Amino acid sequence: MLFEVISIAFSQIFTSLGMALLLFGIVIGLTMGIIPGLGAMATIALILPFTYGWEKLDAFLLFSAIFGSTTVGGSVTAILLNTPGTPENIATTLDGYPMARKGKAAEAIATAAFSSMCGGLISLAVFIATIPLLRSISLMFGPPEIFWLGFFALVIISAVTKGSFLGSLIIGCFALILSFHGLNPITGTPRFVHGFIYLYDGFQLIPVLLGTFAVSEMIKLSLERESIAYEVVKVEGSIKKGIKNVLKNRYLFLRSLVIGYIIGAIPGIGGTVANYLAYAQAVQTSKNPETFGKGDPRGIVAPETANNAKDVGQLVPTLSLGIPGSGTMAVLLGAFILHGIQPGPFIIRDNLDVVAMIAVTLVFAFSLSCLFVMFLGQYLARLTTIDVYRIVPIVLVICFIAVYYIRYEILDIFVTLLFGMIGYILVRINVSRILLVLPIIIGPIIERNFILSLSICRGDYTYFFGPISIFLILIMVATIIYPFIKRKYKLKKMSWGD
Amino acid sequence: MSITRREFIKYSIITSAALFGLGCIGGSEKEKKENITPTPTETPSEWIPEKEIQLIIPYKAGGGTDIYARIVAPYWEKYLPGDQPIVIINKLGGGGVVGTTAIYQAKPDGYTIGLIIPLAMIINQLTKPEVQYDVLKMPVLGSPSAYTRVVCTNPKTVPDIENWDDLLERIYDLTFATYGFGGTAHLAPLLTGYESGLYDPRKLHFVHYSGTSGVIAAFERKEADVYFGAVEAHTAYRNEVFNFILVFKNERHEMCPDVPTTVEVGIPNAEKINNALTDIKAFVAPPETPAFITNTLASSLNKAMNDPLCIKEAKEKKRPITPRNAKESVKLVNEMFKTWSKQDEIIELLKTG
Repeated sequence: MLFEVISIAFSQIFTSLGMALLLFGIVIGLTMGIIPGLGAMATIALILPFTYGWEKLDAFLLFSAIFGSTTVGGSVTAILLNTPGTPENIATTLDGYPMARKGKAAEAIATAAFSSMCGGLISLAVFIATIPLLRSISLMFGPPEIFWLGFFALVIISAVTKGSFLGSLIIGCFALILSFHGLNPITGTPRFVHGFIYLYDGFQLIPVLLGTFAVSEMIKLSLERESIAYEVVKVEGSIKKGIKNVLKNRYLFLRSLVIGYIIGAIPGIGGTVANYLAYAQAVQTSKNPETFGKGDPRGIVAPETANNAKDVGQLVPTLSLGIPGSGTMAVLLGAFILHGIQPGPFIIRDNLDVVAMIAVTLVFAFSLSCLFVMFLGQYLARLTTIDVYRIVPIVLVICFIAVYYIRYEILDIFVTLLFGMIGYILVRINVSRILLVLPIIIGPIIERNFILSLSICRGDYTYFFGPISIFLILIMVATIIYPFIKRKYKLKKMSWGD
Repeated sequence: MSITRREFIKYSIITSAALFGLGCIGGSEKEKKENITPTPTETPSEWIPEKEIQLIIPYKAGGGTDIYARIVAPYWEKYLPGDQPIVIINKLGGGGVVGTTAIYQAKPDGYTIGLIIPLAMIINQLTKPEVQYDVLKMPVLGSPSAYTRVVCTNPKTVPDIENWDDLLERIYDLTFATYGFGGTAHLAPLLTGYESGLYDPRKLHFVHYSGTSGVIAAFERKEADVYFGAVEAHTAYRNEVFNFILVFKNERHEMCPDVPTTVEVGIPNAEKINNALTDIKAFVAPPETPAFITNTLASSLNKAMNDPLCIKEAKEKKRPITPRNAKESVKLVNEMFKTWSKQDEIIELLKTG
């Protein structure tokens, strides 16, 4: 049955309409991914209404082509402009941008593209092989497990963030406070909205993200220098080097793939955490962690592999339980409803043809989009040599239009500007801007699942400590103490050497 | 190659002007209200739209409300005088409040209308002082659908609960799942308790999940025992995920004719409870929209919702149409408002969280 529907999906793609939809989806996905702020969620939400009345397989071919190509597009912006094209590319900025500034933008882009492609394709193979088990995998993670995982992500941020410790602590707490604005995630009662309906939905991720990264970066660039790269970009051999970077770090690649897939498969934790966790494990397991943040290609391999693996992982709860693993998946569930498919635990059983179409299209989308990016990277890298006074107005206009387009809300532009200024201040005082964004994403996840767990357990707190929870707690403790043990071991070794 | 600071400032000014222009499209509210024409005394009997009509949906594209709008809109265009399209705009935020406010504050000229969920908007109006609309002042044009509440039990955790009496016996020991605090699945057991006096709703144990999918997963993980779901949305999961034991309807529901109703089992005030919990979606216009415009919109909508092709398409999309004309819908919304505005304890609970 599975092979039959897969062959139907292939034959559907290899028609003139199928190929046109696939290429159109990839081009749109890449473009929207490159434009800061407009990820797969915004793009599919935009396209969705136009597909009303289409054949469902055609519609899902287009959605999957877009979905499979936006994240790799986002890595280009993260590397060239220090601005994550999508929220999932936050960690890529950490080493991607320093590489671009050293004139290695094309190599960085090729590394990101090849990691993404391999990560996506292997995860897809795992996904197809485990289709009968998907439901049980999704059901393993309830509110307490998601609570601990969110908590774990917060710990990881503190463990790998560089810069002033006190400043980081203050900004992290400030961002957590910001995450509590809006309607209470459980009771729906307004909190800290100060009478503004605008604040009912809290601080929106995209204005915060674009303000903190894009606007502040543009302010910084305009005040500091004439172009992004310090030296002329070297084009030759860069693609080869990018591929080598991945093959050389195959164990890091595999670890990141597993992290991405599992995080994606956990309903409700969101994909943004995946790339940061993958980056964190790259730093923590490295023999020379001091090179990270200064243009280490491993800092691109880890998050970008996790990204596409996470994209596939997100399909697990979405298709097996009807629980959206992220905002993009929530829109995809909307697409199911729009095309007469009831989201819920029986999507795979009742609509295997659609599931096969999604999987097969993703194979093409991952491969073609990453190949496009790898080859275009050489030309896109030249952007880093252009005078910043040409780039700044263009980037700012694109950011503001992107922010406005998502909700047609003019106040979002002011929030973007506000966070741009805060972001610039953080750069000046040497505090990581990631600390301003990740707690806003993770805070509500932790809060919601903590309260949910409390109400489910009815006073029996052992509910918080199931086998998976204990496993997560142990990893968390290990993450905290590992750097200390490693440092102590190094010191001991050095003293022996002396 | 580098451009001057003067040029940079020029680009920035152009950008700002463009953005300012975007924000100003449509003019101010005051300006809009002053341009209302014509007055009812000089009105023709029928309104013929001269430009596109914007249909605001306060929820996301692909959601239940959005799909009803997309199903009905082409047929509505067909029956409207003139040849103007109906363009759907999804204006999200604040659980529907932002979009509903946009409809409420739009120019009352017939060119902006919306599809809202009256029960949710009434509850928001009664519990949130910041809300700037009044559902009762918005002319209702008709309703394409009504969700009927059904008591669902979990066959994995409480297989022995087979009817309403079984449930009442153990009601305080059970965990009630909802798809969100203040949603109909939460309001239904509260209202039933207060109006019938059969149990104390303050003693119920609720767990508020995120969306219906969260409830389904909770049932599968055996975290919850009872859910006041919707017949139309959950029949697909019947027996495998949910057991249906009671329907909130005056007569048996065609989708589950074997399930007894609240009236049959003798719940006190059953009809009042059923009406207050009828979760309709309603097409509405801004307040003060002239009657000749609302009449034209309402009559063409009614024809569209009764068009056999529209009904067939809705059925295929698994969103069955149960049309209510403007008069029936207004009556239901008014009754709903009357019932809920008297529920001081529930309103207080929702206000304080």
